[in-house]
Amino acid sequence: MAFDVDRVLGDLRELARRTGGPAGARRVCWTDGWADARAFLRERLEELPVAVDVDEAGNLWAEREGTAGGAVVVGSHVDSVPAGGWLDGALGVLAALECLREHAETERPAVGMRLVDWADEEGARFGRSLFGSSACAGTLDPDAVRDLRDAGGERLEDVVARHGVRLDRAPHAQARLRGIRAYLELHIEQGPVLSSEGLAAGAVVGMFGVERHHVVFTGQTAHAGATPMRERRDAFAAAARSALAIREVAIAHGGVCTVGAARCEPGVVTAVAGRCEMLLDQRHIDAAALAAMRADAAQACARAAAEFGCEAELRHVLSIPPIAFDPRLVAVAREAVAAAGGGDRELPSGPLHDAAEMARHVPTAMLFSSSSPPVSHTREEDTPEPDLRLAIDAFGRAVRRTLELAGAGELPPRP
Amino acid sequence: MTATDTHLAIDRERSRRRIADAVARLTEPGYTRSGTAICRYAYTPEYRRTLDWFTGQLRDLGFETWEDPVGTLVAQNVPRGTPVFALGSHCDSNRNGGPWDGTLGVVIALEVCRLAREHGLELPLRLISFLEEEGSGFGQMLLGSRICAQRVEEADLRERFRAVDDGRSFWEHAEEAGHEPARWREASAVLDDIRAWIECHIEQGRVLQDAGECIGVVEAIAGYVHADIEIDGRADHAGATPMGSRVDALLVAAEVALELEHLAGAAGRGTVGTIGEIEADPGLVNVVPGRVRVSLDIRGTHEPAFRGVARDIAAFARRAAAARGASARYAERQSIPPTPMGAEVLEALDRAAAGAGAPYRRMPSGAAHDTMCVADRAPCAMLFVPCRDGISHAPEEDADPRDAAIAAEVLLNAVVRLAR
Repeated sequence: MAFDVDRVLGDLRELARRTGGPAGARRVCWTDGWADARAFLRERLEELPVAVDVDEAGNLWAEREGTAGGAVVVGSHVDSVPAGGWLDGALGVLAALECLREHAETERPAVGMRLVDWADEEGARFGRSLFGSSACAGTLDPDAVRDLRDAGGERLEDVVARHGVRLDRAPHAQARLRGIRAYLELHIEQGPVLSSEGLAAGAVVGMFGVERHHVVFTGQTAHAGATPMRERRDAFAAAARSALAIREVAIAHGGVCTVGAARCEPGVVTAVAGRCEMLLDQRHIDAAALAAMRADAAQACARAAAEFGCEAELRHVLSIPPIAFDPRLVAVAREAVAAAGGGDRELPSGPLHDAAEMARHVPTAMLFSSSSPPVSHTREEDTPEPDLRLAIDAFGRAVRRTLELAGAGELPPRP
Repeated sequence: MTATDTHLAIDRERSRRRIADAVARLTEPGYTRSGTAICRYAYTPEYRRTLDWFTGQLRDLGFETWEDPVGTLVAQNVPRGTPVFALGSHCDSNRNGGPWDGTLGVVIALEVCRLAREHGLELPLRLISFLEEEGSGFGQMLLGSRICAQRVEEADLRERFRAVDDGRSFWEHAEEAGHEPARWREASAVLDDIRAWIECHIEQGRVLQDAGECIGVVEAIAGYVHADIEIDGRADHAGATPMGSRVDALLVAAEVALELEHLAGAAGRGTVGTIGEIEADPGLVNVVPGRVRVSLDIRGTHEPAFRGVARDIAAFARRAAAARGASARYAERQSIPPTPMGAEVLEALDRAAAGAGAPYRRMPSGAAHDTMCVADRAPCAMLFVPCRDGISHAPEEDADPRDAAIAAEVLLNAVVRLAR
């Protein structure tokens, strides 16, 4: 079977018909909708000469071996957020399926191919994303997630057990790393960069590192009527000044900074806020620049606090170092996009993906299709069909080229 | 004879002790629902016990006491229908309140009633304790005094005003507590026959403390505008959306906050502006806020000044939003004009304060008080007592009973003067 973009589009639409609809995708991991999506994938895989199984962390694998040992891995995730978009994750899995179909046509291939559908990339039910890929990469600690509860109060450990995953055995999924030569994933961008430049697809150079803090401003609660302006220590005013300054910090360093929420205490219309807490998220592709952004933001908060007679404290929540993808594979991705008739654009990924976990251990790259409207995690998420076709075609080309490189011995199997 | 020659001195130490004891008693279990703060809302057992305590004290002084159809406590030492000088405040508390807010005013009024008797003065006095000044029970500020001033509609009481805790109507709660809300219009009589009204209250700011003064004579109560500004931007992924592509509603709100600081300061005449509430939607760490609401509280005693700030901040919000590709809407919740105080009452308080030898000042009240409603019917004024660091509406709220004793002396002398 030659690589057929139309067949991928047909599969995507059929999956959307079965597990989505006007209200959006309903494939939240560890639910019946997700199981339905998996069943659809298995039906398609049954048509191919591949061995299908599920690992200890619930990741679904389909493998066709090669004569020289080792495999190029392609995949993404079929799970979605509630009322999610039709392409988020599904695009990567069904494009990978088409790569596997093409591979099945090759007689006695030197390099094998594996498709992976990672379990619970979104973390929509328990708030822990990248469940399956982190288990495979060895960064999932069962004790840290065991007692996470969903909105209905159910424990993660009990729920995954109903889907055949014994949480304590999930780290055994690491065995799947053996033999991997490279990992490639196609995903929608979920942002505006490609569409705003009129580009259909791009090569992803890596993942932003992330720094998250709760910034707490402490001033003095005061009566809104009885306290003259000059006598105030208004924690919200300090937060407001900081939020504006932090935007400039992001621009100066070429990263992104977001104050996603602020909360005042006591939080009533008639009181000057004595305390204001804001959520700060900072991301950059370069570790040194990320550290500098963090330091500059801390300084901006301290300065703003001083201006309004307050104090600022940054409470650390989370750090994820930036991840650079494999330069050879990034070059492959770039050339593939260009060969498919797209432009020549490298971009970092702001959101996290399963590829971030794989990049810890094996040469990895990603391709993005444009997103228009540039949103995700909503049913409005979409990609214009010409862009979608080009991106799928480019992914097929990139995988073919990666197989060639591996066949030439450039990408040895992981022991 | 000069004004000071006629000043009536009191035993301040004795008044200090009585006031401190009364305030302390009303922080005890039984008078508050909480072990750590004052939580006292109308129609609760704690509130009932508090009114009963005042009632007992006033009856011991020979006052006739009664409650109006919604539960306003009234006490009087002359037959009904006689013109009186009315004193009082409220003894309900904020949700997480302190011992002094409101309660002090009723306690000082009680002390003045006692002093009048001890000094053999034949002053026609009425003590009033309004209910639900704070709005803690039903979310409606000045509710009791608004009922007395007939500033509410019957449908408000029957239907619209509902308990914060259980959602049932004011009407139901009032009936359950043994009152007769159906006769609410008769509450108007609480404000009949008043020659002058004076309310004592803690300042709830720190102007007096910072100036080292122990009495504030309130010459006007600020009017205010309460409003919301809602900004609609676009919720985008925090990682995937470059800074230049964002329509961040929270940044517009931040600009509004800083501009409000500037506008209120520039308006002068004591105008103040506050953003006390902010709500971001979706309010997640990894999403650019697509929609943000902030509250506005803009006040002052000069109406054109504070209304100008409200108008200007609304216009600024629309401009600032447009500059970022967002939109902003301004919606007024409520606004009221400033309340001037009675010139004659102010003069009596000035002279009484001078006579007491207390460092004092004329000042505006930024906070709203029951006096605003009483002013519909009678000449009014207020006395402020400093509170530590301006902290109020919090369990740490504190005041010096020595200042309160001086306030009682000033109040007593002002009434003597007005009665002449």
